[in-house]
Amino acid sequence: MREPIPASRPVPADREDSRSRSSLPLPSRVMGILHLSDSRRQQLWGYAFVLPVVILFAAFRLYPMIRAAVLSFESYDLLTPPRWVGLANYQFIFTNSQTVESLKTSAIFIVGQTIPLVLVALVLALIVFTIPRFRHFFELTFYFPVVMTTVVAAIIWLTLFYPRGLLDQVISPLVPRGVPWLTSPAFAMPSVITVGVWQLTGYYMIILLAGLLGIPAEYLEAAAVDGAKTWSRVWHVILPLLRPQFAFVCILAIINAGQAFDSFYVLTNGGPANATDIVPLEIYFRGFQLLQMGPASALSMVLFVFLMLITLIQLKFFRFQESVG
Amino acid sequence: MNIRLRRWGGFGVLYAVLILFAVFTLTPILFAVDGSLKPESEIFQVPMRLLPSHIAWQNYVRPFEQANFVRYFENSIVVAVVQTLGPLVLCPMAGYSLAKFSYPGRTIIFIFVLSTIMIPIQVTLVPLFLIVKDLGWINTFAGLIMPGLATTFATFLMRQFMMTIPNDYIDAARIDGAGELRIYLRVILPMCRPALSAVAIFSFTSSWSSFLWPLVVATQDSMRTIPLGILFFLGSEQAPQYGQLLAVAVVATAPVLVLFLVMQRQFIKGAMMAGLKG
Repeated sequence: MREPIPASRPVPADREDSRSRSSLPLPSRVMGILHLSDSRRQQLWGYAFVLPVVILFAAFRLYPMIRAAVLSFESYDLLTPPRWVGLANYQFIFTNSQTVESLKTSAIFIVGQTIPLVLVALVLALIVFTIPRFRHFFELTFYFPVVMTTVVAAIIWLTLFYPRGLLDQVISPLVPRGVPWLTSPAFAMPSVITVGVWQLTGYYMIILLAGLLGIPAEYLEAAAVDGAKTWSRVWHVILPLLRPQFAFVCILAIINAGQAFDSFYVLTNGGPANATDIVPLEIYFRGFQLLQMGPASALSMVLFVFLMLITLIQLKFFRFQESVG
Repeated sequence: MNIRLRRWGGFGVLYAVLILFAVFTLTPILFAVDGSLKPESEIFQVPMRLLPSHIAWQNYVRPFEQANFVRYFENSIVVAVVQTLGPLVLCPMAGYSLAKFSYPGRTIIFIFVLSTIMIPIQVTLVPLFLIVKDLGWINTFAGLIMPGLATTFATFLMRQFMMTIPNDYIDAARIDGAGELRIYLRVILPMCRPALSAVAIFSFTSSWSSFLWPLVVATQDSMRTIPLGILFFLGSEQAPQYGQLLAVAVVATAPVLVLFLVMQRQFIKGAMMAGLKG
């Protein structure tokens, strides 16, 4: 792959010598000249390296996204050709009782899962950060459900939620008849949220823990020297310093909750009485069971706009300009 | 460390909270292993028996004999291996380009790559299905694999990691007359090991768990991956065989568990790396 050295390029006086000193910083004058003469070749290499990913993203992310936007203004059932219907699909999803309910259910789920998730993760991260021993054991234990397949985790919980299964037996001293975990509209959502908290807490805890470990020790020591009590140290020193990571974790949890599908599909499939029918389930149901590609795409666009707004908030938080460089 | 309480006694409550949550975390997993070894009649026995009266090994045999689980595992392995190698090859290249080359349009390409995090499969499900159908890829490995062959996360992680590599290494290699591909393979990639192992781990586990896209694209039994197979198994039986279901769940988790235990440091570090962006 070595390129022949163009005649116009000044060749370093003795190449063997420069090779043996290759780890040393080179005179900037020489480097500047080399960059200039090679810049075009390097530009092409830059494009070549990034091209495969750009093609894949264009074909399987951007293009489908554009198709979704177009489809959301069309009526299409796979069998007859698509027909332009203007805003009818949006009108439909904002008036049809089931789709309106799914938007509300998703909102309830996103709030209902994110709050316990990030609070539990925060408390656990603070505790794991503080304890002197067994930190690694608890990190591993809490993180393991994160790497489990969600469908598999949901199947396991399905057997725990089984009538007179383990959960019913654990609470039988309090509730002898058992709880309709997944079969009553009131309990189904909290049950699915419990599974989510069980599976995902470790992930957010690790991110927060990384944030805690990144706090310079001087801050903590200074607070200790001041004689601040543990709680006031946590409240006045640690938590304010952890705010960027905590905001990041909140946004990540919201984005992930907005996309949740697997555990719902396994545990409730939207039931009972549509009590857990979140937007991604409704997209799947409309698109692939009723073959209403138009309304399904309109719902997809609503989900997209939601994810975009949250992501933009995140980027504002994390100084997009700096990261783009 | 001054931040830590000096006396062990002060940690009692803290350890109690952690142990409580650890019990909450581990109970379902231990229940699954325990239940997978029980005869069907003992799984939902009241009161719950802790250990099986005899170990029901047939729970682990039947799904592989009677249902198509050998095939489901083969499919999952093929998909997960390709969807690990793909990001491992392609995303560091893109990350390198975005971090270390300058060319017109680089910022726009980077913004484009970043913005794909706003386009998850849940948003493009319907049109992506139509596109893959037009390509004739329904019920093929191409259909299962191609949309997930490169990921935003891996590209971003590699780009961020490569930003930290000093340009001197590249410039020095160029002065030496090394070709660009050689510089990338021999100088840059070896320095990226931590990021590469994070990419490998995340690609493999997320591919192994992926469900929604295979649900749409693999409609034939012979193309199902494990998550689909388990669900199909749950729905297909007259009365679901929970012992066998849990046995399959345990077997499906085993590869991830082994990977997790072998590479535990990299898992935790990778998650921390993911969180430290921004």
